[in-house]
Order: sequence, then structure tokens, then C-alpha cells
Amino acid sequence: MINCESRSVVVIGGGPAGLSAAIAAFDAGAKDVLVLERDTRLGGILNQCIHNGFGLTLFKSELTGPEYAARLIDMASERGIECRLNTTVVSVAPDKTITCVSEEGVFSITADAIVLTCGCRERPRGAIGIAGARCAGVYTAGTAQKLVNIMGYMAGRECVILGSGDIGLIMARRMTLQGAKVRAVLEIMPRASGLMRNVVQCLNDYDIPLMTSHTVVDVLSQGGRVSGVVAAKVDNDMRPIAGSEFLLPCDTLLLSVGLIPETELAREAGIGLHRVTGGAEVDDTLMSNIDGIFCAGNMLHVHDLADYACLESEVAGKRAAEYAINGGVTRGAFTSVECGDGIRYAVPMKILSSGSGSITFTARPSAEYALGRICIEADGEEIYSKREAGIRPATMLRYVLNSAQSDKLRSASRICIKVRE
Amino acid sequence: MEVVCTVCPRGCNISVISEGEGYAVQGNGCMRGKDYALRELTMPMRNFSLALSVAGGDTDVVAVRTSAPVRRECIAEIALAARALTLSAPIKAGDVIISKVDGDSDLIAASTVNLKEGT
Ligand code: SF4
Repeated sequence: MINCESRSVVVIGGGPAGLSAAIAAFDAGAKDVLVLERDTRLGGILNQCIHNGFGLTLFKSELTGPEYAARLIDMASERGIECRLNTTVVSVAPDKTITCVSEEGVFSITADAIVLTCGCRERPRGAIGIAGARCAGVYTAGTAQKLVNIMGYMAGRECVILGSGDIGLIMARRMTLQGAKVRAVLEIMPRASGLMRNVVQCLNDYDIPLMTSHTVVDVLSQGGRVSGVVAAKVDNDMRPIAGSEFLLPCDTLLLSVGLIPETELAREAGIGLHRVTGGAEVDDTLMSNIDGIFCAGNMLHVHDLADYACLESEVAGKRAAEYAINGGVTRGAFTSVECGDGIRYAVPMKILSSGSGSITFTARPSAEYALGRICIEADGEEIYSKREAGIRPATMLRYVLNSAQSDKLRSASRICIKVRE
Repeated sequence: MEVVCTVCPRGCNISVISEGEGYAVQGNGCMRGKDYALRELTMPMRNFSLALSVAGGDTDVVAVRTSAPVRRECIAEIALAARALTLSAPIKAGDVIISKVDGDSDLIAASTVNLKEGT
């Protein structure tokens, strides 16, 4: 250890969530905010998301990822927020001591409050167990995105994409625009798992077939490189149907088979994880079970919009600043949020009875409803309800409750969020 | 006709029914969806972006995008022309890479590439 400094709020991760948290913490009065980023630049995943469509909510304009990142970076630098690049956090202790490694060596920082905004990672090939050759030409969609959009290497000439998550759809369009041929997007589920707008503007616009209820059963190789994949139809239990196999010649297979919150540091710090999201479990101030450690963005749960990840992180940043300035908070009793019909998970998972201010809920539906009503109930009484058309698991729901509604939740002993038809 | 609106992430399912001289539009969550749906039936317009190689910069790629939507049918041609360019640093976000690719829309840089240090 070469030195030990102390800070009021330290944000771990300099992507959109981390920058938003740092800006909000600063604006809430924490003046010595520090952002730690392991990459050579700020902006995180936005740097490789060069497609447009970012920022409709936050900046009221349609930006590409790099432009969106630049706005957040400017906002942080206007405030003089210190961001340390090339700095990898290796551990976070429950007493809020952070151990980092950089060119300067190993050092530690103690913080009054910490916001973890570590983002998420892609589910790798191994996690879904595709049979076949272990050859070159199999990439996760995000790796291919980095190769093409950051490093300037074409990841392939003829692609098949497995999985219709948003990154897979976006990469189908990217590869086409960059001059490759995309043969098909295969999706094991009976419907696309990404946003409808991406099915339209990334696949339909370019006549790329989306084959639902299909998967890859074999990867073929020639000379150490993918030469094709064998696709098959799947039954209702997602098992390949014998006899339905067909060959799709290609030199590249891209996998877009899901994202998982990056929780390595969180787990080591003793932060409790949620069984559905895989991310941290938090209360309505986005504080984890460890006092003074807050979580937001994709490490809390995987978002489909950067805007929502940023808005969530603003809450975490503000609450972290309050925590640091007040020298901690005492958390008393809480009520767990139950997920009723049609809701797979909801954030926050717990509502503190001692809190104040407005509570924001985000929820992931578990089923499709052409028309439904989202209800939030306190002790059986409906305190919030909103009609929604076209509820789909791919589209996250977000509701900001007013103070009166939030206070009703705080005094309830049963809280439930559900979809009514 | 059914149209999925791509203007915002809600992705409303909009139906357009011809009614006398004009059209009736249903299912749009807001007015932008109506304009979108009607344009979609006559002349679909899109924004798009590309990754282009840059020589002599601190990064090897610049992201470029259309400054305003272009006719969907022009995308392939614009992309082909843009990929054939040889670009060199420095490039600033907002710089025009190709002017007037379709109508008043320019292809502009969406990221900044500085000169590589030491050059
Ligand atoms: S109609 Fe309006 S609300 Fe619906 S997707 Fe289009 S822009 Fe969004």
C-alpha cells in the first residue's frame, strides 16, 4: 500500500450509470466525489454503441452512444468531478475500504459512501452449451460490436446470430451496414426477446429473417474457422426437434444470449444478491444490505434503455451523498415488495418505513398482455395504477410515485406489484 | 395496415385504415406516431450510423451518423460510399463527413478522433 486517501462518495465504474451517479452526488452536495474506471476512457459500453436512439428521455434528442457519453462526460467535467482512469478496483470491504490497482501500484481509498455501477457482462458461449467445433469465428455480440465499432476489424463476412436480444438485433444491422451478410437471427423462444422497434429497424428494414423457436445444434468448422451452423426447430420445451435440422453456411456465429449483472465486487463485499435479477438486492434508497454501499444501473438489474439506467443511478448518487453528508443513516424496519401476477421482478425489493421522498419502481413483466393495468398495492389497497398497452417481457416498466403514494407504501406491512387484465 | 412505431422505445402498434380521401390512424401513443405511420406507408425514413476506419488517430475508428433521417431505400448506397472513404485524424464530433447524402441530411461524425500522440 503506497497511500490511503479518504473520500465522501466513490463511484465504481465510469459508464453512463456511474457518471450519472457521480453528477447527482455532486449536485446533492458531496464535493469530493471520485469515479474509478478501469478502461482508458469514460463512457463504458456507450463508446461501442454507435447506433442512434439514445437520450430521448434524458436529453430530448436522438443521440448515438458516443455522443450520449460525451454529454455525461462534459457534465462531470464542468463540475470538476475527478475521474481516475486505468484504475481497477480489486476489492470493496464492508467497511467501505476500496483496494485498487493502477499504474501507480496498489492503493486503497476509504469512502463514506460507495456507489457500485459496474455494469453487466454477456452470457458466454459456455453458459448455453452449444455443441460443435471450438474454432475461430464464434463471438458474443458485444465482443463483435467492440471489434467492429472500436477496433475497426470486421468480425466476419457471413453471419448467423443466435439470440434476439437487443444487442443481437443491433449487431445484425451493424454487420449489414458494414458490408457483411447476415443469414438469419435464430431465437429459441417463440418471440423476439429485444424491443419491437429493434426488430423493425434492425431486421425487417434489411430483410434479415428472424427464426423464432429455432436454435443452433452444431457448429461446423473448416481450417480452424466456422464454416456453418446446423440450426433446428425446437418444441414447446425448447428441445430441438429431430429431423428439423438444416445447414446455414456462415463464417461467423454471434451470440446474443443474455446479459448478467457484474457482481464480483458486490459479492466479495458481502452484498446480498437477488435470485431473479442476479444483481444486488436494494431498498428504496438503492442501498444494499451493507450500510453505505449503493448499487445502480446494469449491475443492479439489466436495463433496456440507457436513460433508465441513468435515472436510476441519479437516485443512488443523491442518496449516497445524503448518507455521506449525514454521517450515515439508521435503517429501521422494512417491507419486502411482492411480485404478483405478470411481474417477474421489481426494483426496489424493500421499502424502508423510515424513508422520505418519492419512490421510483422499475419492473420486468413475465408475460405478454395486449392491454393491462399495473397496480401497486399497500395492504391490499391500490395506491397506484396505470393502464399499459402492449406489455412485454422485453420492455421494462418504470413508475415514479409521488410523495403521498410513497408514504402509503412506507407505512404498509404488505406491498405488492401486479398486472391486472 | 399495421406499423410498429420506432420513434420511441414504446414501439406502439399502429393501424392505418384508409378512410375516404385520407387515413384513420389507431393505436399511436402520441402524435409523433401518426406522422411516422403515414410516412412509413409512403416513404420510410431512417437515421443510421456507421463505423469508419481512420488513419493517424488516437483511436482507429470514427462513428458517423446521419444528421437527419434519410430515405430508407438510400441507406445501402450511402453506406457503400462512406465505407469507400479514406479518413484521417483529427476528426471532431459534428464534423461533416459527406454533405447532403439525401435531402438536407449530412453524414456527420458522432465521435472525436484526436491526432495520435507523437505525430
Ligand atoms: S406512437 Fe408515440 S409513444 Fe408510441 S412508439 Fe411512437 S413515438 Fe412512442
